[in-house]
Amino acid sequence: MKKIKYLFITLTLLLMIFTSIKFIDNKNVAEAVDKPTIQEELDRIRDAMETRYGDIKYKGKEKMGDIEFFIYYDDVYDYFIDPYTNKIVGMITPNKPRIPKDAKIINKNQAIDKANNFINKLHKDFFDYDVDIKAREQQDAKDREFMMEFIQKNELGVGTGSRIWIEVTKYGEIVFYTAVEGNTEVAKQKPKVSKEKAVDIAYREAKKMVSEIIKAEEEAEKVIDEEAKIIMEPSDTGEYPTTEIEKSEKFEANLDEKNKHKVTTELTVFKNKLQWWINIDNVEINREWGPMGFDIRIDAITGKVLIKGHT
Amino acid sequence: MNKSKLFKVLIVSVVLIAGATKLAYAAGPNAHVYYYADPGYGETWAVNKYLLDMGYSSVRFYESHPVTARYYLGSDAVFYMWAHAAPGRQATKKSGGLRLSAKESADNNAWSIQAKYKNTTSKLRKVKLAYWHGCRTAQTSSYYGDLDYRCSLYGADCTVTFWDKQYPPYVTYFDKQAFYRLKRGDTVKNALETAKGITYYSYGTCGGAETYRIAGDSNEKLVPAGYGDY
Repeated sequence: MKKIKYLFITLTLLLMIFTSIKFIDNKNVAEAVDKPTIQEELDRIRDAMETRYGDIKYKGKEKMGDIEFFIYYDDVYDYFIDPYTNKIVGMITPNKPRIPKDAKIINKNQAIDKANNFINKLHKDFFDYDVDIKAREQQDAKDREFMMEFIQKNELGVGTGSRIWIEVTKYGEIVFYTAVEGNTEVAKQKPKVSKEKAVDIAYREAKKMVSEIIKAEEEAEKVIDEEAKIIMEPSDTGEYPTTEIEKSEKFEANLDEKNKHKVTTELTVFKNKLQWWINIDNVEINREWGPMGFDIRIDAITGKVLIKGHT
Repeated sequence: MNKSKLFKVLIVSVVLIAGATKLAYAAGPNAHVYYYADPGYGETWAVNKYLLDMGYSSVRFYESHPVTARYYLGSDAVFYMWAHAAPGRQATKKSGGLRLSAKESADNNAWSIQAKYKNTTSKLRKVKLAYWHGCRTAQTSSYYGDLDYRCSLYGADCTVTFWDKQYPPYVTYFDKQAFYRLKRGDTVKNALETAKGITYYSYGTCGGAETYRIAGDSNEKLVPAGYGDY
């Protein structure tokens, strides 16, 4: 009887192992069919840019978050390849970008068009959805005067999690690209935390952060810089550093007058989780580094605070 | 060898190794890493560790008076400050009421770079990298001046400042990634660009760190450890 029992267990285990191997094999076959080769991907991005700068070579590996990416490079760019999908997730310009021979200065709209075309060639279905474009022009930012973010949204206005960042020089050269893939299925989920509730949670967290600042400042008052006592150089007006504990005015942030704040909310997928991204900006404080901002991310299903921080 | 002799040899070896390590670190070029109770320590522990790994004699200071940071800036190869800030100055000590500023002013609470290092163009020549991390440090104030202009004027090789408001933990993660790449031997520009990509990828935002500005030599490297160009 015992022998039969062992035989049965062994057979079941063997069957399970066989089934899992078969499943993994099938998955690999399916992936192998869809997966482009790294060379195809590199050709695709270079075609999208309509320019090729020398031969592509392998550089090494780079850890980004939890994944170790392959890095390839040519005379101008470093390319980051996802080892599981072989897709390019990023591209940077480690050195000064080249100025094209027929260089013409472009404006913000032309920079957006350039980035749009680039995305269209790399992600054929990206614009099948609505896309919010945040574009910024900063002429002082040398060699990357236009910074853009493309946020894909579904028909309900929920971020699918697919985001692309592109930077373009004033001469129209793409110098930076990073793409994050989202999850349209997760974006279809109905949030259990309403927008109003999320904003309430964000304000609650902002108040907690204010309490933490007050506590931190009180602790800081007790710390005397012993080095300053020795250095003893005067301030610009001739005041010497004090060697005593100095009490400062208690920190205050006006979180009550909400109508004075700039509150932005975004319901989006990130890392396969539906989240509320809340930013409370323009909060008056009694410190010269204000007005300050608070940034809070909340799980839209559970209401759990995922990340919080302040300027 | 009996047990007590073996024990003594072990103790002496440990002391010697510890001493040698300490000496090796002490021999490196100076670096200082500053942080404050608010906005907190950020990733200063990691930044300091990477600098030590690179061979710098790096020290992490908590709640320093601006006079201290200004004093050591002149002998630093690498200067890193994570503090609240506003155009032309970083707010330190006394709940941000004391300032390490760029230009001389009539502010009782300002210890400016200009006041200490003026009249030459080389008093900050030892500085390879001055990294001013705080909100809007890249912006110019008509009253407090411009941090990277002032550092460059007195001979610093490279400075990094930021245009916009800075939101941790994204921006401190950015710093950690950047200094990790600097440790690996990347140029400042390469390190910051890679850090930007990684931060976007990890958080979906850089929290304002993407608005960094490099003044001076963006191809500056921190390894091998050394002082700036004389």
